[in-house]
This record gives sequence, structure tokens and C-alpha cells, in this order.
Amino acid sequence: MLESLRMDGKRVIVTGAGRGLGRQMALHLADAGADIVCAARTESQIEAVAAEIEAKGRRSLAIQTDVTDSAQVDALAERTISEWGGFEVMIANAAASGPASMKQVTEITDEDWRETVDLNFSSVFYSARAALRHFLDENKPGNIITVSSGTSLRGVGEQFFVDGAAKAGVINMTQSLAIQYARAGIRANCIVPGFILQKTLEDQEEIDTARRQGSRIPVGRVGEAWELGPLAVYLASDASGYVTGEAVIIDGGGLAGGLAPSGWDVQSGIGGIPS
Amino acid sequence: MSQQNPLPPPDAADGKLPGFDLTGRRVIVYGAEKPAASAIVEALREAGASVGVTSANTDGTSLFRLKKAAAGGPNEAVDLSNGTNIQVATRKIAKELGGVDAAIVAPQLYHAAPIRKTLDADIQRVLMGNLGGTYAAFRSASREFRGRPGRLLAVLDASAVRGLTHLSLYSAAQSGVVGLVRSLSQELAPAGTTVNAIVVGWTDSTPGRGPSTADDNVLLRYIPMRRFAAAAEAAPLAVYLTSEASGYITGQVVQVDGGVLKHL
Repeated sequence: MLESLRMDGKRVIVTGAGRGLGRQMALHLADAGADIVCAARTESQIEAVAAEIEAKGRRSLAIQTDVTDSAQVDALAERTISEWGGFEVMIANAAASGPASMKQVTEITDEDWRETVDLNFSSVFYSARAALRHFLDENKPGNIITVSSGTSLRGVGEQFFVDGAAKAGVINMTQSLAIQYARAGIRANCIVPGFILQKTLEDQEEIDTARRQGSRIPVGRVGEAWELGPLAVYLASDASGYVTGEAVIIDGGGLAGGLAPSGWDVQSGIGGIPS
Repeated sequence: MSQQNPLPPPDAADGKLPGFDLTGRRVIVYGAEKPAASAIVEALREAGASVGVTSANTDGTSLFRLKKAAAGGPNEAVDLSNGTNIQVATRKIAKELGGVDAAIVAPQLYHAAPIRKTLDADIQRVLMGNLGGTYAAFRSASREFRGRPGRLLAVLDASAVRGLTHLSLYSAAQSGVVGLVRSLSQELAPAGTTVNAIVVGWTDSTPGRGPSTADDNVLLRYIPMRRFAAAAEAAPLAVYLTSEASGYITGQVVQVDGGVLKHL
């Protein structure tokens, strides 16, 4: 029954594969047997990840891509098709905070808005569209995985006003892709991460910061990037064959709660205050 | 606090993938006679787990299927509407397995009737058989975790998240489990225990589903994938949510539904 998790012979494009979540997803998919195209802006990083994948005995291509430019995303798909004959899975993971991310709403310029939306939303659309065109041209089943963020599901404070809205768009777009193309055998699902460490903790100061952040999360810690790997393998493989349009939240329990900082105090009968 | 950063990934046994390796883990499946749950039991064993099973009901068919799912392993006849029955069975299975790391509950006591024809006895029976049973099973199993991080998982159907005429009572009982999952996830998070649910859409064993081709069945035209799920299609997800590697997913309801819960 678990044989369906194997990805042998499957070709997967991962955008934002140079570091953090994208890198971990790429490595876990390679462990499951997949060949990986690593795409990102920083060439040295994707070349390093591609070398790690080849060391696992899989094929890998590093293709420098700025996902906010649809021509580059189309070229990414075309080069994968010309070198490998096609691909089965697109993971539209690349995103970044933009010029609007840290600004008050009234300070955000039109250009800030556009750039931040491009980084977090248009980029996912370009990747999904390029994949869909390939799957439909070939008349074969395909799989699109998008990556959103916990900021998409609740109102956000002073920061990430545009990011949250753009990431909410990613979830809705994924659902619509799922229902529109289910009959063509194409699935689309979304991973919704909460706080996740983007890098290995290197010194005590970084560990202390992570632990402070983790104390605000129900499970008491921040997520590690490797925790996205098994979820990506599940969604990319045939093991999730009846799952489509789904947004899987991986956030240490943050979004399931949120009514009071530390639960209902049975003694005092009031919502607890964090100590 | 049982877990802190940095948290290294658990090792996976040879030939197994991280997140799908249950070597050495001990799991109880309640309601194992249901087709989706039986398939989950098989997948858990394939992933390397030791599995004990209980039934959800004590009628002849349930007990026959329970023995089959048990495959010679620990098994107990249980009526999910009886908390004492669940507690005793859990203790016995925990002893046989040498401990418990995870529990999966598949409550599925159907009831379809207009509200004006629903009796007090129906309310008791359906709420207890779905919500009460899951609550009691989670309670008994979490006692067996003994401070170690555990995994709790409910396997529900689509009535847990959508309304359907004449299913008001069943839907209330199933969706009650979603509230249980969300709150209990918060309560048990500091110990590293996760609590989640899988919602399975229409399957080829759902009562009243009708024919299996879209030409003959209006219901199928409503499912984006145009097919019913096979009973086994929720199993790999159940393995993942039972594994040590899924510790950052909690309080969630993940839908295995062919897309039916995603359209307007």
C-alpha cells in the first residue's frame, strides 16, 4: 500500500529549491526516487542542491529562474521538457517578502504592492500555468503543489499586509485549479506552513531566538524545514491520489487555537496569561 | 516542554521513507471493522507498526470483521458508546503491545432521518457512538502515552465539515469531533502529542452512494474527480499522521475527498 509513495522515474520541478523548505522538499523527493529540477534566483545555491541530489543517485538540473518573470518560468518548463522530455510535478514554492511587507498600509506604494504580489502570488500562477500547459499538451496526468503561509488564514498585524492577502489568493487559486482540471487527471494541493526555520541554527544566539519564538507556538517549538519533506512526498506521489484542492496546514497548532495565549485556566476560570 | 529547537529528523529504517516509517511504534485502531480503518490497519503494519484493534460495535458482522483486521494480533470487542468498555479494552491492548504511541478512531454510526422523526434515544446513541466514543478513546489512549509525545487521529466522513439534508444528527456528532480535535490539540501540544482528523469523502463503501459511473449517478458528477475513493486511499495519510515525523501538524482536518469539498 505504501509503494504508492515511491517517486521513481518521476520528474519534479521545485521552485525556490536553493534553501529552506524548497531544498528540503527537493531532497526528500529525491530520497523517494524522483529526479529534481532545482529552480531559484541564486545559482550557487541551486547548483549545491543539485549536487546533493546527484549524490543520492538521481538526476538533477539547476536552472536559474526569477519566478516573478513569466518568460523565465516558461523557459524553465521548456528547458525541462527539452532536456528530460517532460515533468510530472510542479512545486511552486518560491516566494519572498517584498517592499510592502514591513510597511504600514498607508505607506505602501502601487509599485510596492505590485512587486510583493508578484513575489507571492503571480509567481505561483506563472508556475502553475506553465505546468498545466505541459500536462494538457501531453494529455497526461499531472500534479501541482503550491505553497502558501499561515498569514493567509487570519488577519495580520502591522506587517505582511500584502503577503497575507497574496498567500490567501494562492489557496483559492489552488482549489479552483483542482476542480477545473480534476477530470483531466491533474491534481493541485497547497502546503500552508506556519513558523518554520529556514536554515540550520548555527550558534547559541540563533538557538535562543528560535526557542523564544517557539514558546509562542502550541507545540512549544518552531517547525524545522525537514518537516516539510514527508508532506511534499505524500502530496507529490500517488499515495495522495484522491486528495485535491486541499490546503494542509503545518504550523504546530497555531491556527487551531488562538482564543487565549495559554488555554483556559481551570482554577481561575479565565483565559490564561503567558508567564 | 518535551521538544525544543533544533529538532533533528528521526532516522528512517532501511527501505522506508521518513514520515512513513513506524518501526517499533505501537498503535491502537478503534472501529477497525470499517473498510477505511481496516485498510489503515494494513498500512500501519506495512510501515512497521505493532497494531491492536477494537470494533466500534458488537454485532456479529462487526466482530467477524474485527477478527479479520486483527490478523491474530491484540483485539477487543468494543461498543464505542461505552467509555468503560473502551477504557478496559485500551488497558488490555496496551499491556499486550507493551505501550501505546498512537491511537486512531474511526467512528461511523450512521443516522439519516428528518429532525421531526428523530427520537431522544437516537440523539443519545448517535452522539455517543461518534463523538462520545472518540472522546473516550482519545482519553484512554492518551493516558497510555505516559508523558511521551503521542499521536491521536480521528477518521471522519464529509458530514463532519458540510451539511446534508436528513443528516443533521450524524453531522452534529461527526463535526463535534472536529471541535474536540482543535481543542485537544492545544491541551496536549506542550507534551508533543498531536491531534488531527482525516475527512474521507464518498467512498465505494459509503451506504447509498449509488452506481459507480458518472453517466448513471448524479452524485458522481458532483465530485471533481468523477469517482468514489477506494477504502485504502486514506491509509498513507493515516500512516504519516501517526509517524514521529508529523509532529508539527496538529489541530488539523485533512480532506481526502476527490475535490468534492472544494467547490461552491
